[in-house]
Amino acid sequence: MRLSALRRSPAALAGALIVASVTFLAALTIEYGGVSAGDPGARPRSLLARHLLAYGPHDEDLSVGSPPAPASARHWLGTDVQRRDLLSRVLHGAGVSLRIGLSAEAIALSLGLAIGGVAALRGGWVDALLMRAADLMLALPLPILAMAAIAVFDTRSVTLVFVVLGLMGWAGIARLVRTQCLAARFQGYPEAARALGAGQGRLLAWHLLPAALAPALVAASMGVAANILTEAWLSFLGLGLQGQAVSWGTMIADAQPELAIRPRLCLAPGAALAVTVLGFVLLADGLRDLLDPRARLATHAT
Amino acid sequence: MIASLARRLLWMIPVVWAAATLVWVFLFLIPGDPARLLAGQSASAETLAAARAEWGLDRPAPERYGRFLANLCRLDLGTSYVQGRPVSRILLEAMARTAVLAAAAAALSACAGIAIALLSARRPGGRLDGLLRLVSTLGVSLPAFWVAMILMLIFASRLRWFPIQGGGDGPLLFGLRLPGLHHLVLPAVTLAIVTSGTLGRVARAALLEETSRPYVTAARARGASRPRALTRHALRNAMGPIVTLAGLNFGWLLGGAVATETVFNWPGMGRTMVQGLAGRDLPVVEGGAIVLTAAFVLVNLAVDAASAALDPRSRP
Amino acid sequence: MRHRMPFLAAGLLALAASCASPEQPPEGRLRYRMPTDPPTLDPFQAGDDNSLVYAYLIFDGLVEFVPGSTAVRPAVASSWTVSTDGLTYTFSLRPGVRFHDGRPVTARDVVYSARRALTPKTSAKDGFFEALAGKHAFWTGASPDLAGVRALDDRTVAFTLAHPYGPFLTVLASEAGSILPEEVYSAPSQSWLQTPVGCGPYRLAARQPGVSLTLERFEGHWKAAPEGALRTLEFRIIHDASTALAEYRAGGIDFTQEIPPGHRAAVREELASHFHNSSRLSLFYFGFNHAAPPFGGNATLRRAVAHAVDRDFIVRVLQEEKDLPAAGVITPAMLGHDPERRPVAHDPGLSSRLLAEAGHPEGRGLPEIDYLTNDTESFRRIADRLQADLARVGIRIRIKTMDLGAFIAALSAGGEAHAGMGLFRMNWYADWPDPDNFLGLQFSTGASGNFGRYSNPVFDELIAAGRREPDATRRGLLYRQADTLLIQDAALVPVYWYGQDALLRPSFRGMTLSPLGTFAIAWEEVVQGT
Repeated sequence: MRLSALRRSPAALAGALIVASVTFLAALTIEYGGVSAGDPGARPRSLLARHLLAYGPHDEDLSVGSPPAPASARHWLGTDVQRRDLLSRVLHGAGVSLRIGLSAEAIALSLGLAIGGVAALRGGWVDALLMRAADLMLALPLPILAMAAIAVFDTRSVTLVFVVLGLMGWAGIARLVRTQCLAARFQGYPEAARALGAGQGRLLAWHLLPAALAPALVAASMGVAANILTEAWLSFLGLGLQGQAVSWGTMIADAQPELAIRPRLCLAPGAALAVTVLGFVLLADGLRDLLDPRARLATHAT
Repeated sequence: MIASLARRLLWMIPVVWAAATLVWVFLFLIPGDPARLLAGQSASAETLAAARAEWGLDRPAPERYGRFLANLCRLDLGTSYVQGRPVSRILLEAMARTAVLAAAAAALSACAGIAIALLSARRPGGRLDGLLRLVSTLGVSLPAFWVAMILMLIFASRLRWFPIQGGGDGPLLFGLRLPGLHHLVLPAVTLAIVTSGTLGRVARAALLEETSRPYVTAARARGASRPRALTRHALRNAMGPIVTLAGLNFGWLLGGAVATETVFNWPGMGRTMVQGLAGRDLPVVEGGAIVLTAAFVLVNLAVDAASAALDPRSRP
Repeated sequence: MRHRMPFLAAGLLALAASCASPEQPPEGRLRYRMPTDPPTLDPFQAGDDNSLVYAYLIFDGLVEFVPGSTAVRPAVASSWTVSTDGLTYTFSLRPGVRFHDGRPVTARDVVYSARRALTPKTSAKDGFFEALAGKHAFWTGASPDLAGVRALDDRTVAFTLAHPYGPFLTVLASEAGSILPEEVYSAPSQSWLQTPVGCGPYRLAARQPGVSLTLERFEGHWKAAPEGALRTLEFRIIHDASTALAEYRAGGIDFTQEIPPGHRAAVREELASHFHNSSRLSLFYFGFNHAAPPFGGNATLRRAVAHAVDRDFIVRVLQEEKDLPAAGVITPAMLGHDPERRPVAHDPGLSSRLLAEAGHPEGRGLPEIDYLTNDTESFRRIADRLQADLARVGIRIRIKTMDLGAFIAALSAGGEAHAGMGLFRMNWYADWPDPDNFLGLQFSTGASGNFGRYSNPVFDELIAAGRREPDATRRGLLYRQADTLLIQDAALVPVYWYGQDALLRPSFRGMTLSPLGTFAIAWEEVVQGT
């Protein structure tokens, strides 16, 4: 995939741009990591973080007399009732959302590649067993299970949420990977490799999985979008993240009563959420267009 | 056909067992004592012990699990701690309202999806096509609960066109109160907005695939206009994937509209499960997970049957 | 046909939009917003505000609260006498009082109800009757006989106390004094789970769980219905406060008791004639874990925390002036309240000095302390506030939010479950209007509500003396002393005494908020009319 290919797919380009900017902002928030309210010891060091983010997620502007303050030059989107800069908090939310979306998908993708690959390679009862397990996962009411699983823990960290989401998201990718690997197998290259003495692990890693990686990445990009949305609604309902992490879902829930009076408190995190998810969906779209020549043919044929 | 149907129905047993067991384990581990939540902070130890004994919460784990499975085999979902009514009845009422909402949303999104596809397919690659594609993608990316809040603000609070919340009182069906049409609109539109994007894209792809087939070319050669060729000929044959996806949407919405139901205070499955979980009404959450799993499998079965029937290639 | 579906849908939408019309409430009906289904309709199991609404309306007791106050007046009992030693209360039942099924109420029903209220399987109200003679033996099953309650004849019943207890009548006026018909509540069919039967002014008419619950006026009630009385109370379940407010504005409900955050000032102005506010007998506070370091046995450190909290900001900005800054545990309008006492001052400088005095200048050597709270928006805001206030003097806390079930479980288990727990949030509502319920149940050594495991023999002695003291004025002074002791010892950080807001359409008249809570509003005396 060359860079010039991106130009042919404006969707992929837009998606890549959005994802890149959100990732960049999220990376900046790392400098604030672990800083709790009013802690004067740890200030962000880099110039960019200081100017783009300006405030930590829990920094209060004590000069605000009657919070919540409206939009001003000092606070572009105003502050919330706790005198915290809204824009900074929305940007900090990007860090949490991305960490959950990407980490959960990394787990799901690894599991999916491993399980799908092994199923394709081994065949027989191993294949049957693993694919039944995948079918089972796909038939479960995952939103409900995620709610119940997370509720088991009385304090809910970012790690907990992404592990639960990751463990629930592998089945679709596993099926996809298995199909792709089987297709690659029938093309005969792996047989040749085996004839040359390659072991099973090597066979899987060097010959089968690369064939499956591209479509798996498309699915994973959609998966990241889905994970971000799931975390948001779980937190919105108070069943997801708790504690100090800044979640867009929680911000929206907190601002809901004030939607009619101070819509910015609710619209800003919602829009950030929508744009981030849009980025990953567009990226998945674009990747699919670029990677699947048949789909491109279909659009060009008409 | 019959054999395959039977196999699929048998497959339901391990699926339901897995869902039931997973949820049972989660709820076994969940912190918080239902008795304490019901009796309040000043309840004494004796009161709490009496309630726990009545619900069998004081028994060892294997015995509780065994009893749970035995009851499940007899299709007995138990009694709600909070409402004191059979869980099956509570879930039946909630499921009826959720099913109406999911069906309305799935139908709306299918209509919207078809409309998007028809408009796009007039000039594929054109400006309208690109715009609709962007709109569909945006729809997929919007968080449903956020859309719900905004629609509620505009159309219920400000314009007062629709009621703000609740299911309303619709007709009675076999003793089940169905939601009112008027109350249905905003929640159904919310769910249609977030699901119609995918449907529109699938419908567009299916439609374009059909238009490249010879019979459409033939129809156009006989003088049919392009819109007419699209709607009369191509759409009919592209209905298979559209119906399949609409059906899958319906199945997904049964258990997937949790946040939207909560925002609109829609007394369906999602809200029942959220409140059951928060109030530690364990039988309701367990029963709800089981019912949703079974419903999901059955809906998928029905969708496969329907799309097989709709696929012209599968006709004898 | 298929391609017409989009237009069909659009048509349906238009149809639905066109039939939108605001609902007209019929006369004599009140539509009451309820946040959730009541967990129970049994007055002896009711432990939450929602269940108590029904307990107060469906059931009556021998005596009742005067609307809007904690004074007690006759109800099912038309009169009573108290023996000179203050130990025996003899009640004469009012003639013609009937249960909803038509059967007259007798003294035997009062005895049955008291026994039921003191049986662990059927009641969570044992704490209410601590003073009753023979209570412990009956509750623990040691004796089948409840010595303290006797029916002298069909219309006369006597309660005997183990020691004089001034607020005993207020206990009887609460839900714990409800009178239940024995034949209904002991029937194996347990029909009362679905259809409660009492002798109160309203009876259950219809119920759609998760959606609504309807009470209708009981025509055979002993109180005469005033002109324009409310025939129907329809409780609509709307979980979310902002949804409820929007519904109120749209005309879909007539009464809501919770104004969502951020709206209070606007609502007060816009709906001035609808707006009601009064104080309530309840307290929000930060509790310490006294069973473990760093706060256990370290009053100086606890005082440093007390002076760091910006109570004024919490009350003024976060609570939007609904509540009052709390100076102690005993709320206004409760026996023993000291109107002269000022809240502990917000003084970060003093706090820093105390912190240094406790051996932790600028917080050095202190671990990160866990603060436990349940997860609601309001409590989250307060948690953030506490964290910021304490950080300013150098005390670092980690906020542990959990849902209510997990939170209560964690508190009940105390320090054993959460080794790092140092602070927690707590609120306490008066079960009956007496400081014993507030102080004794929360801070006595080993009390069931003493989640912080506070233990102070001097305090325990004051509480015990208060329970024995027959004279109300002297009792009040004892509790005031106990309250002062708690504040000096910084056993807790009182934050605010609750206020309560309610919106009621002005066409309803005669509603008075009760200091006990909105559940104690006497709706049978409210009338509708212009």
